[in-house]
Amino acid sequence: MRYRYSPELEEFRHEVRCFIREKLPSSLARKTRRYEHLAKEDVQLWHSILAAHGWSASHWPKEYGGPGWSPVERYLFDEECALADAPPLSPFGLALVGPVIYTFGSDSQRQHYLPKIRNGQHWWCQGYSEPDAGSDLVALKTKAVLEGSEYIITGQKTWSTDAHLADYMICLARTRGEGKPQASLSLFIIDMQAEGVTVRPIETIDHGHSVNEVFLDGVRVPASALVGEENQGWTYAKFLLGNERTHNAQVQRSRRDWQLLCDMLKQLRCGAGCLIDEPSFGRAIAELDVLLIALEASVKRVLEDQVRGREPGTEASILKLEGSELQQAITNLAVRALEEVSGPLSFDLITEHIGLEGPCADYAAGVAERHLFRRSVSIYAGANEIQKNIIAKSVLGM
Amino acid sequence: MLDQDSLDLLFDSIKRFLQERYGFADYQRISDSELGWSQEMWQEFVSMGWLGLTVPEEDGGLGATAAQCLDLFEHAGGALVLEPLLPTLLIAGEVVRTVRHATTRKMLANGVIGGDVRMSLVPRQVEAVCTCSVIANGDGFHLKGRFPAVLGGANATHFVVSAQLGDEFAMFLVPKANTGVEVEPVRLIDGRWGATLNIDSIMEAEALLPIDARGGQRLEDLVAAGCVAEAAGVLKRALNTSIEYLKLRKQFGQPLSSLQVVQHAMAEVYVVSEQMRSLVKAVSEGLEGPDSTYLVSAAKAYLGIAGYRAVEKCIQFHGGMGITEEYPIGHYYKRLLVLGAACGSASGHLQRMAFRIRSETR
Ligand SMILES: Cc1cc2nc3c(=O)[nH]c(=O)nc-3n(C[C@H](O)[C@H](O)[C@H](O)COP(=O)(O)OP(=O)(O)OC[C@H]3O[C@@H](n4cnc5c(N)ncnc54)[C@H](O)[C@@H]3O)c2cc1C
Repeated sequence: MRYRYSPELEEFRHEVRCFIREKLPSSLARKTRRYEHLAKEDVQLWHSILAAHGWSASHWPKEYGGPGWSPVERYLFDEECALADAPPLSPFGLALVGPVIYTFGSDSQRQHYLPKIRNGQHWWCQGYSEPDAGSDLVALKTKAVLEGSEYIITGQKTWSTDAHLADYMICLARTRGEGKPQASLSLFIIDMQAEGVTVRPIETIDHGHSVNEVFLDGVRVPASALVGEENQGWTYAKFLLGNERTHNAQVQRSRRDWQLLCDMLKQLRCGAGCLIDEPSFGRAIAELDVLLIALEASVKRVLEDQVRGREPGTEASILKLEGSELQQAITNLAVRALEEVSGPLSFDLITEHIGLEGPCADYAAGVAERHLFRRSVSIYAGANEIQKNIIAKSVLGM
Repeated sequence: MLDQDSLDLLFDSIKRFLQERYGFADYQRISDSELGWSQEMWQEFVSMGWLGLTVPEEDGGLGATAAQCLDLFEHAGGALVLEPLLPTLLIAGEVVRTVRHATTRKMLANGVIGGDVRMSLVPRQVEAVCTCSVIANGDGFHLKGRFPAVLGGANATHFVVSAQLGDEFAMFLVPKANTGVEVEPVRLIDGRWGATLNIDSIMEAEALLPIDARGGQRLEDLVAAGCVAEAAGVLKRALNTSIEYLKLRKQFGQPLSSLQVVQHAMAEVYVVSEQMRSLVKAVSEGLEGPDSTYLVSAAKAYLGIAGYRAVEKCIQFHGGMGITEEYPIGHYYKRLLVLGAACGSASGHLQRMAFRIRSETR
């Protein structure tokens, strides 16, 4: 099933598709299907290809170097990238920091940071969470004290994705001791090379390394590293989290995973036929499609609202909730399929042994890793229980 | 046969040993070692007499039934034991019992008791990708086949393989040392070593075990029952670890354990963990009965459905900590996934149950 757009939009989609077909190296597409965590060089390569065409900052307005696409065009662009197995770009600079800087930052910050986010030269990480401030982010303890023309920042961040690869961190820190805790936070840009910054890796259960602890020990940053106004950090951070939750629906990537899983079920042999002929698998893949169609429809509703100038509010929570559960449901079924034909999972599945070939074989080889790491999609970007609290409180008035 | 009191005594000592010597840190150290399991630990198991548990008394073992041993697997699962107790301990007794040649039998029995003979069962469940053929060859047989993801395969010295010999079911004991037996080790996600087995080997007549199709099924049931018992141990430990963590972890000024959603989730995990233990008991009581295969399937399917979900909940409520290699909870999940898939996954077992239900009502 395929949703039909207006002729202009279908034309746009076609243009994007042709571009990707011509420019995306097939080795990169293979790696994207296979690996949950891609190497920085791989992501950067694709980033620079897009940047050269003016398409890297696909969500940015024209004045800051974006292509100036409508929300629906952006959606289609992301969908084409996902369906072609293009590497997802690092979201921190493009989707999170960029919008904060062009919305709340100073002119000099815009001039200095935006171009290098756009062309992929600078890699960013997000320093919000702390050991004692996860769901209760407002409880964070990292302090920034103004001393002359510098802030001195001290504290510990954790779970910082890509901090080991990043040039800068966008860091939420406390700038005064009294008052409402929300009204005493500020947002800073920290150079990861600065003295006093130490990054320690956290190994995850898929044996991957993407998250880190970051120790900030009296790190000195110039006053100009403050984003927007002092003590307004919470407002900015919430703006950023809203973006993050829409992004985290990951519906286009899930659609692609679903296609690859479908192919897997058609190739894996079971008795006289293949796995998809087996009623429990046939139904399960159809059920996933039901959830996907519903989520795609919800995402489209949000996009249409955006076209009418209404920014997403609590709908972002719906998308995050359903999107993350769908991502997990897809790998659950992939795991069931592999268990059925080849027994216990291994990180080194040899897909020829189970008769898989083509793109879905790359996907299958990464299922164990992906399935394990995907336990985290219902935890990060505001855990699902927290999203439910938000819906109950601010939508349902309970 | 060993009386229950002596057995209980032995299991108590096993439990204590694992508590003292096989903590999470020990598990991590062993798992990170080159070999992935500890030969010293294995020797300790040997010296405490664990490996001879199921070997018949007349062969120098303790003569316990496999059903009596399931408790041991609950303890071993909870401790995430990496050494290959699972296939060997459950099938060795049965296999030794069937060997007619006296010298071979003695050698096997002593080997098992002394820890030098380790057996692995190649389950038929993975038939979709197993290819296997056997033909009589003079006095012996020519066995040819490929078997992926054999639990305990990398550390085994002997493989118990079932095959079709003409119209007959046949079961062979294939020593790893035979020419034409190739073992490709595969590290499973729980850190244990499985293997893909390639056999193209001429075997002597005595390699054919006098085990019929029902006997073959029984061996598979035994190993599957062992998986279920280990899983029950894993679940219980996953629950306890989570509760400990949730009592300590504070957010919004209160321990997570004081939140009702968290309490309900853990109550649900508790229910699953207890149901799993009940199933182990039912399986161990039913192993000698006519419905053992059906019961084992039920327990295995429960593990793959409710069991997985329960530990997924535990991870969820650990937050970020749940997906770190440093914390135990993710390791329980990985172990559970391996146990769920070994000897037939939930969907495979459900299919077989459905088949049986259909054929009965007709
Ligand atoms: C892979 C990964 C990448 C991440 N990347 C980043 C990053 O780049 N930058 C960054 O700043 N952070 C990052 N995070 C951190 C992430 O945002 C936090 O993990 C998340 O906010 C949850 O916090 P916590 O882990 O401390 O869990 P806790 O806050 O300790 O929560 C544990 C569990 O309790 C539940 N819970 C807590 N409070 C309540 C409540 N009031 N009601 C009901 N349930 C509740 C939660 O839903 C969760 O299930 C990442 C996390 C992961 C796992």
